[in-house]
Amino acid sequence: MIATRSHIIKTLLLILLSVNFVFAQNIVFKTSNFKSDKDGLKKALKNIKLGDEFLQSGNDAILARNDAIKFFEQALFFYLPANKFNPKNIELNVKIGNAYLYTNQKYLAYNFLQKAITLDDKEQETDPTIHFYYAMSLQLEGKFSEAIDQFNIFKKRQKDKKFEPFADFYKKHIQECESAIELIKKPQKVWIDNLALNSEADDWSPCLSADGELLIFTSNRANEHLPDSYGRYDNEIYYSTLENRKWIKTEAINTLNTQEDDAVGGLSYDGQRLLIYKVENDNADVFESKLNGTKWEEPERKMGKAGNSVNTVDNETLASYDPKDIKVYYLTDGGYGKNWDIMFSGVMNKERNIWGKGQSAGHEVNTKYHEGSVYLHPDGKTMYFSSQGHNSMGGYDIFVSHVDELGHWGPAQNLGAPINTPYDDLFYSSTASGKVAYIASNRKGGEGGMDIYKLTLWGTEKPQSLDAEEQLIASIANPIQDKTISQPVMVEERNLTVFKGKILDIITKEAVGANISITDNTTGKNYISLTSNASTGKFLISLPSGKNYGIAVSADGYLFHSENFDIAKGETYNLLEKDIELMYIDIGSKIALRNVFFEIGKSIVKEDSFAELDRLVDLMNKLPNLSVELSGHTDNTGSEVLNIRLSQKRAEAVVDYLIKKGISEDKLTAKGYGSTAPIDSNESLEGRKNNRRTEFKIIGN
Amino acid sequence: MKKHIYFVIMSLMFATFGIAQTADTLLFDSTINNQELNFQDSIANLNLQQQQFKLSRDAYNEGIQLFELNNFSDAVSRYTNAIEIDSLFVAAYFNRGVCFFTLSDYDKAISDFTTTFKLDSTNYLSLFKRAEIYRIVNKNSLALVDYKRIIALDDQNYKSYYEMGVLMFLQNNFEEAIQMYSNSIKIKPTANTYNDRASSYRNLQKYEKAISDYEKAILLDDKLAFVYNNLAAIYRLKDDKQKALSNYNNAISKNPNYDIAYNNRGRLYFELEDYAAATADFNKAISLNPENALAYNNRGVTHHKNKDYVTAIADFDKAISIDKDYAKAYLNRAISKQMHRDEQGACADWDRANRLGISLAKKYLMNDCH
Repeated sequence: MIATRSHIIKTLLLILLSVNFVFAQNIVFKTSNFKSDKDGLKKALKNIKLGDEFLQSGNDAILARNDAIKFFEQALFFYLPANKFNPKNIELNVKIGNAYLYTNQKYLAYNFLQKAITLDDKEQETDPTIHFYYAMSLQLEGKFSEAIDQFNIFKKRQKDKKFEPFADFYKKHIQECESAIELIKKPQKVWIDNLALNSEADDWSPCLSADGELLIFTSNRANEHLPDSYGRYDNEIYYSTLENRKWIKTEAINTLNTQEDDAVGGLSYDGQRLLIYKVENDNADVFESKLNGTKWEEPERKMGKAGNSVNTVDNETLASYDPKDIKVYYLTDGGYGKNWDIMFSGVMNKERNIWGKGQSAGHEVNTKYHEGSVYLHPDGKTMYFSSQGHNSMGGYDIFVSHVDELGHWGPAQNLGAPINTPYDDLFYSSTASGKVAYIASNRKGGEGGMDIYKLTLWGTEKPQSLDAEEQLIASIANPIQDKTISQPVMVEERNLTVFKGKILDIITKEAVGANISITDNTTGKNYISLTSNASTGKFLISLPSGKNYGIAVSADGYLFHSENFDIAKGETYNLLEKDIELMYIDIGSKIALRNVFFEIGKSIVKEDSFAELDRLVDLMNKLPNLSVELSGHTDNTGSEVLNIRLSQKRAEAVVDYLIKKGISEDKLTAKGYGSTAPIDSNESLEGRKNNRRTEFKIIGN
Repeated sequence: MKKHIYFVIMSLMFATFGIAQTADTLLFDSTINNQELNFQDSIANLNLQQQQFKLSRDAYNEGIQLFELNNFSDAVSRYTNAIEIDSLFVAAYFNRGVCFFTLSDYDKAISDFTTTFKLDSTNYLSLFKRAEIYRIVNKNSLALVDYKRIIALDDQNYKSYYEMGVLMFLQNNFEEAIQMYSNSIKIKPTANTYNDRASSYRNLQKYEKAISDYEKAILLDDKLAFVYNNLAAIYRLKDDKQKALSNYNNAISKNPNYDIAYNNRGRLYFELEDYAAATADFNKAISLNPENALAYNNRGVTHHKNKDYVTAIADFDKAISIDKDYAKAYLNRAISKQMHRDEQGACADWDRANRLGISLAKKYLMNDCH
């Protein structure tokens, strides 16, 4: 499987390569190749020739470590139309790449050089500088290892003496690539944003007020002046203000701008003074303008008069204030070996504008390569500057240096990737907090040329916060759903019946004041006791309906009366009337004991009979002379023999109960009559019920 | 309660006889017939009253049936009927109070429980319920008065001691809370009470005593997952992460649906830099409880740690949609937004977090937003 796949890949590669070979054909600028367009060829050759002159001047300047952007831009002005005519010429592609590498559009070099390399299938035929410039473009692309390889190929192939001056350069480039490989390993915690105010042209030298709300910068964007013959405009000074975190209202500072290049170097921290440089008689000096209201005043030469110890025959350009306002740091081409270096001068007499001789910012800052910008941070202890030297990743990189107690600037530290790139990274201007800074760079991905970038340094990572939950209170963690409510209640339907009547003497019909006791037969308990009116015999009581009651009436000298009755569940208005006649105690008197009950067919006295029998016990205790016969009676149903036997036994059971309650046996006689002594008719249910009874008869007193 | 109902019935009965006896004594007067008539009328009235009495009890019993069917508003109307018929019907007031409580109609519930206690001063439960409501409506001092009254009536009422402990705890009066919990434990030790006393010790940073009490709670009831969760938290505070982990594991094994313990264990894994395990736990917590804002917040932090700011922000969004005042989630979302280059959004979130009381957010606002 793997073998098959690798075979497929190989085949694909071969196909791709052969496609390349088909197209990879160097087309030389010669008549035989352009028979149909001889005029075009002629024009192209002329352009190449013109371009070559500028390229040569440019490359000479570079070898002398001088700035040569303009030469290369002019070379490109001629080369590009020729390349349009014939894009497949190795040599021209290399030349265009070469030129772009030294402009502010370096990022365009790579495609031309890569094309040249592709066209160069017979490597040995072309100038070995193709590897040098291709390596430079690979370095810019961040392909540092490949770049080193290409520099090494160049090193191997350049046998000619004319390449000797390149030695320093490729060695430096290899160093840069090695530095870059190290620096990108530890990227800085920063965001880099291209400002919306950037143009297609160069926007550079950002100068920020310490509050971060005013930005003054330089740009050679299209302006009202006439462009030069190559379409380039002069540099002018612009300002922009911050509103809602955005730079708005970008405008030229017309009072400072002239027909020539005008460039800003440094802004005082309060935003009230500006250091610019002006060229007079081919010599650049630092000037200062002050803000008067909203107008920048006519600039005056800073650091003394022209031609003095500071404003020398050399050029003094980009400058920075020092927070104590006693020094000015500036760039000059009058440094060691005539490189651009950073120097400073201190004021000796402010009123008379006398300044001390320029001094180097020190060997930790200045190198044998160019330094490109300088900025003193408002803390007064930190210098940000750019340099092609030190451990630059390529082109200018921005470095920081800190001053020691003796005023010496310490070792330069590269600000690192991604602040620095293999392109030119220059300038540094920050807010007082240091959190936000602006730089300029011609790195890839911008709007064109140099662009201004905003750096937001986020420093140490802000910690985020996790959250946990404890359930410290048990009754909250584990609430007990207490839905206890009071229980249902059972309600009896209680309904009262008025129970009334009279107690009378059975013989005389006179009223008897008697004690009446009413028993609730369902509970066997006395429900209420009352007395009938002695003069009328009347009683009146209310009783809960729907029950069976026993009533016992007793009066002195009378046999007590007892019976049971039902009070039916009824309507709201119930009335039950019952008159009770009492018998005066006399020998032969009989009383039916209506509340004596037996178990069915048996002679066992039921418990609910005890209340009645106990009243009989009471009566006999009150009347100790009384002798009684307890008799049992049945109705006429069933066998008479059995009726007599049952009634006899029941009478005896009652007697036994009374004896047990302490009544003397000789006062009691038990007799079962069966159905022989009825008191009612046996024909009806009611009559039979009345006949079934226990009776007692007074047989002696 | 039951006793009391019988008491009411009995007193009604006595009232009946009172009338009967008065009527009876009147029999001795001469104008018998009229008085008999009066008596009979009064009995008729009494029968009417009796019917009403039954109606009120029937309404009350229907109320109970409706309550058991969770039909609280209809139950309320039945209890109200019962009370309209019998204004001294204690049980009906109590039960209606419970319904109002369940319906979160706290004023009415308080009123009913107050009436219940007024009519029956042995009804502690009505005071207990009223105190519960006072706590819900943040009238803790009134709740405290009720609990104290219960204890004055019944000094063995361990539940009231417990609730007083909870009140003290919530007022950050941990020493007093411990006293109350100890009183409760003296009468009847429960796992809940030990847990709470442990939590009080925890908040006083007396970790050893806290551990001892949590362990006593576990001895009394080893099924309570939250006790293990609390115990784990103590070990985490003591920086004994292994014991913390094993106690979170216990909490989860006791209650496999315990999203809080998953979330907390996830945080511990995060601290142990095991981000995969942390994410798995936060996922589990969220699947168990999709409203667990903390778990969303924590998962967001984990995504942020993995530099997945977009997903992190989505999780913080969710946490905030669940709890719109979740200050930490605003703070965290701001940090993720900043890293995602939404600086305006970040500043708005820090502003919100600052307003919600996170002072760190103010620092970020000052440093990064001005």
